[in-house]
Amino acid sequence: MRYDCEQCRSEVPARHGDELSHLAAARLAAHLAGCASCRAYAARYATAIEAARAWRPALTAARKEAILDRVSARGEPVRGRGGQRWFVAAVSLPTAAALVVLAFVLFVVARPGPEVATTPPPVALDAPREGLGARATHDPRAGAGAGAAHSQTSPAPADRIAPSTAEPIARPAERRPAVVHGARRAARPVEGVAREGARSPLPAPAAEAAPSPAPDAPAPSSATSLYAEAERALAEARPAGAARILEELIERAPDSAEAQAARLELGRLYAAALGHPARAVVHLTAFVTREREPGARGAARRLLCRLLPAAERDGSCWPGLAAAGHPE
Amino acid sequence: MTTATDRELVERFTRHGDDAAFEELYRRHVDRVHRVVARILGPRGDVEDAVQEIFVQVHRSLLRFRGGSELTTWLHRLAVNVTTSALRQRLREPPPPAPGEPDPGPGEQLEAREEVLALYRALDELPEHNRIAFVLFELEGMPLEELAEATGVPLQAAAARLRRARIAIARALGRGPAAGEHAAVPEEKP
Repeated sequence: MRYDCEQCRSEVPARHGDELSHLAAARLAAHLAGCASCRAYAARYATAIEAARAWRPALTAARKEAILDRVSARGEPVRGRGGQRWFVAAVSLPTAAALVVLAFVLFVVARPGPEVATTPPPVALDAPREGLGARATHDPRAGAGAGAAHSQTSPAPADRIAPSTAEPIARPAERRPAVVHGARRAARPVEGVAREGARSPLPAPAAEAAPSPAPDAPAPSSATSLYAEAERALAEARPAGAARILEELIERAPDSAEAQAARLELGRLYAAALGHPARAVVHLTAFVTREREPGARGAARRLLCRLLPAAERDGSCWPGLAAAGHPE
Repeated sequence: MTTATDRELVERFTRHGDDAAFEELYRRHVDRVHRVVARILGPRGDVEDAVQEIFVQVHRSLLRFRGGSELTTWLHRLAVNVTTSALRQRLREPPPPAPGEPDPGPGEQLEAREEVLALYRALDELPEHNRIAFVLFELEGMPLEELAEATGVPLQAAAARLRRARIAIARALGRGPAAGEHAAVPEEKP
């Protein structure tokens, strides 16, 4: 009977899982003994289930690390949240409003006086080079949410950088290290960074010695603007585009501080978002070789250690460190 | 690898922002989560994206994990939610048909035998809830009570989903390659 076959087949999984009562199991066995098609079905079901159970999809170690990097980049930092719940609960709307007013008052009080306003704006040197006109005072790298993080005049500690859209790839523990900011801050202005020399007491001989371009000359693609462009690409979740720009930056201004920051960023991008560990190793090695600041060098070296095959590691993980003159 | 319990690691991460504790939790559970997700989505699923999404949610919402259940059960619930969304998304935007072998993502090892592919073709015909119930119970060996908890439904509802899935799979596999054989062999009456 057709009904018996259908009922039999619906009970085959239960039989396979040993869930049937003695009576039902006996009835099923009796049907299978006399029905070749149901026997074939039961065998096919058992084969499929056993094969599916034996199928054990696995992640490689590199893929696991790549996922972890992306997870850490996208996850919100939870530092101190447990201890701050009371604070969050206590801050009501009026309190928040009072804080806003207080911040505004402090901002007004802290504004520079008129004597500062009479000094020539520092943008004068930069404007013709960048061709940005009214935007010249605005650091192109300082987005709305990342101004503090990327401003060269007021750098923030790395662990305070908000997980803004300006840096969607880096992991919280390794967000752009202060050393990179430091390196970029202290670096010689390579191209188009006369702003740095004008705003800070540090001399900027290269930029100042350079003849001013004609006002109508096309704006050169500076290391600074390339870096800003790469950051915008990252903010727009275009890691491949960002990588191309950073590669171009390194090629054009290999000795610039931006290029050094680009090497670290490329190492992270290739290690995580772009899934190209070999390229990551190249850029991170270049970064570690050039970097003088121990913290950033250590962070890059840790990432290198994770990327290098075990056979290529030694006691200090990266064999090139000693040769580069930076024993760890 | 530390000997700290999951609960201790959760505590360290949520109270002190200890990223190493989160990484340890991740390394401890990622294989199981990946296997569950891969089995639910099948050889053609975008498994890595789903695994990433699950752990992003873990990272963001671990504070809400009250410890009322095991972390693994909580992870299963997240996996069910994320894969349900992925399956619905797949219905709206079916992936381009790949000729021959499945096209796994880069670095993934999702090679599967023909029997497995046949089973997943049958699973593709099921509603996502029934599919998940079938995979978790039949392939992952999850007890019915745990299945109910992971899918957030009462025990009877979980059992009903499983029953419907089994019947549908039976029909789908019955139409498989052996269907011709079924027609050729005259049925014997029991």
